[in-house]
Amino acid sequence: MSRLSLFLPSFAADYSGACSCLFDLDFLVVVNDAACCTRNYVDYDEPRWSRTKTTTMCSELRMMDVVMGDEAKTREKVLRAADEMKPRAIALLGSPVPALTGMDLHGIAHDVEESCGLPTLGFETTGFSTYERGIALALRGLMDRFCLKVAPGVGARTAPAGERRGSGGQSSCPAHRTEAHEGILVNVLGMTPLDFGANGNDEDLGALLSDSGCTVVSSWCMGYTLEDVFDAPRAQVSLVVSDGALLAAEAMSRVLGTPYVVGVPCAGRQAELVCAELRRAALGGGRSHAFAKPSESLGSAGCLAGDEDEAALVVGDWVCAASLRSAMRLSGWRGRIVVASFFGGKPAFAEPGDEALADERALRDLVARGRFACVVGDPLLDRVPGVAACRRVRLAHPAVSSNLFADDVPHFFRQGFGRILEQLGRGDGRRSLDSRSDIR
Amino acid sequence: MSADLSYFVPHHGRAKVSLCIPESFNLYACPPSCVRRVSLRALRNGSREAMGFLYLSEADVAAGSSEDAIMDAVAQALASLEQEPRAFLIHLNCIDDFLGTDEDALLEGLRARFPLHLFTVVRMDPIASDRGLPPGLRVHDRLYSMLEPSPTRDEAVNLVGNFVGLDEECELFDVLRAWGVDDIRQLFACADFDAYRRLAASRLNVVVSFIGSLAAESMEARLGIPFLHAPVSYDVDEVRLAYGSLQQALDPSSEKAADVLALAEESARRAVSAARAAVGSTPIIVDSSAAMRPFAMAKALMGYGFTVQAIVALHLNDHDADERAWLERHHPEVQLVRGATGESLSERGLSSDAVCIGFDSAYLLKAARFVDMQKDEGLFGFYAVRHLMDGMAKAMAARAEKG
Repeated sequence: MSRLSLFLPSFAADYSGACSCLFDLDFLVVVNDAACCTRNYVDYDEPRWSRTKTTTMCSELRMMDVVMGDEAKTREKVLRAADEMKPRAIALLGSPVPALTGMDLHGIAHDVEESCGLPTLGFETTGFSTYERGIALALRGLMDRFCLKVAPGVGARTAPAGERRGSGGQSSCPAHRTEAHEGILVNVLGMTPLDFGANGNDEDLGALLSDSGCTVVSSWCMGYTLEDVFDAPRAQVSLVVSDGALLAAEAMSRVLGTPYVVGVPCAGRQAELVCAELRRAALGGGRSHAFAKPSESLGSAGCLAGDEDEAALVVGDWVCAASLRSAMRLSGWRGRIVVASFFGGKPAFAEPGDEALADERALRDLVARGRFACVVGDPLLDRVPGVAACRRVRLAHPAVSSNLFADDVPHFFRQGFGRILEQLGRGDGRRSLDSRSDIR
Repeated sequence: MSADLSYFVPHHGRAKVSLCIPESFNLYACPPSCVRRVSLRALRNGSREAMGFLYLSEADVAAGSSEDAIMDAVAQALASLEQEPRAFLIHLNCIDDFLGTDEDALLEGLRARFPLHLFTVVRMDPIASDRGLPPGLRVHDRLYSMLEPSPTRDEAVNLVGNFVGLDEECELFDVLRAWGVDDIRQLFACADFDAYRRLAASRLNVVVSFIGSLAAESMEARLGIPFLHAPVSYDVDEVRLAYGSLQQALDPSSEKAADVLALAEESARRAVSAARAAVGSTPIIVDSSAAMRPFAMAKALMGYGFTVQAIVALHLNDHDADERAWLERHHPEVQLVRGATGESLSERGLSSDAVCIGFDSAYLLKAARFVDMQKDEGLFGFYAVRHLMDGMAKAMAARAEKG
């Protein structure tokens, strides 16, 4: 059903989610579009873009190519670029017109790989969906191609033959490595700037996990390499930090038996909870959702002063928002907390009353009937009628506001995160977002 | 159309303007991803309230129900907006080229249902860049399409094709005033819809960029406003000729402008000399983000004696095809670079010590000498020449910071 947006910007698209996942890998990423879609990602959804790294390029699709079904032109452009740039792999992404006209991205990817010998993946992003779908496609595609294909008799933890650089085509078998490691081996799944910005959250999470006795095998998708992807099956447990990574975690669990824990270990008691669940899962405890239940609120023992009649609304990515809710409870919030998200359907860990928002009108209606004392979420949510009247804790969500509030992306894993929770009682002290000067 | 993949230099935080008709509402009907940039830019520019985005789903596209959805969205917008707009611009994107929305039927339906408002359709469809006129020209044309013939003609002059106002220092204002033109009208400078409507009463359209040429032709046909092509030029002789054509078109009774023009030309020539002295044999790189006619700029620079090493044309058009042909014939050593990356520019021997005119080349080469110009914005006449020359001289003296 069509949706009319009058207040918020268009959100990061699925192709941006996929591009974001692939950014750190040595991939040539090609968005099949006329120009605008690639521009959206380059200008607004990738803060890591730098002169030393060229990843995403545009196929400059034109009418005649599409009408005549001339996929050969796109294939030839990709091959020429691959020959010049010498990537380790190639990814082809879709946009609205190829989606509408049924452009066969998997077929083109297959032809490209046959011609040049480089692993080439086609991702059926469409531009009709939001970024978490693109993250899901990319993670699942990477896993299927580089992690989950098992050669019979070799063992579960083997990189596909010939796809490990310098291996000379020989596979190693990480399961038999005798290298020393300490603690629990963890894959972090779903870390992208679209949820966590480029302010060091990825490194902070690594440090937090290390301090908690974990060793990060691979951090999908910031600061990782294809070697890390190959090594992912070594992990004893996966930590899912955003909704887009859920399907990939489930696949890894199903195929490799690697359990997963869902939850962002926000600094403080939430981090303790998540790390405890990681330890439990690694020791054979199975998957879990690391979120405190309402009955587990610390109440007056926590740092949050609050009336149990006060309700709060947290809007964001499902996993991030549910983790914030858990952190709030563990800090003493006693009232009702509703989680809502514009991105994806309600997951299994959603609680009664949580809502998948179809559009900004749904948010407006939720705020109107929810009588929330406090709303936690992106600064731009102030523009939706009713939100600014609540106490606000503004945590920038780049998939919503891009780089307009880059400085306001929270540092989830630093000790200062507790101060964010304290704002729940009094708001963040900033006036309502009502002028251009508030937008950078 | 490029035979290669395109690389886009990120323009994080660089200001960009979206042209809007005052007191109008822009309704975009498209897949949600198409308007990510547009919506964020509107928030940054403070123009979000003048926009609505009707997100079409795959189901909408399959059902072909976008016309009905657009009608309902207009109704919803009218019910929601604090200030009722005078006009609606319905923006359709690439995907509509395949949906085949019947534009006439859509407009007829909208005008019948909402008779108190004006409507037009604007298509931004770069996918159709290989057919017909470029989208930018067509969009510009539609922005003037709601003007109606004026019963009177006044002495004002419209500037057409520019996105931002000319810098106050530009001699054009003094020249036109000296020629009896006190009112210079520009679309984006219209304070309200009535001011927009007064564009139709002007005596002449001066097309300062090719992107306004279709609009000017349409206004001549519909409104009887003659037009003059006077694209921004960095060649002093060309500028003088352009002013001559402008004087001829206006046929002013006064010769007062002659002194103004003479002073402005002298100032431009002095700036050229100063820049030549400062730049010397340092190579120059011109890129298409700086000027709407990068080849014409390069030709002008070579005419002054500068050493143009390359033209980085990530965005190419045919509106200085003559100059391009001239360069290829007379200066084949000047490289034309397309689809560039930092690595490919270095491999071509382009140096980061060059004076880079435009953000794209400066960014790719990490150049220390950067002249910050964007699509001729704010520039015209002898002032444009002086601005460019001053920028080049300053670039030699300063080490630029690029984001």
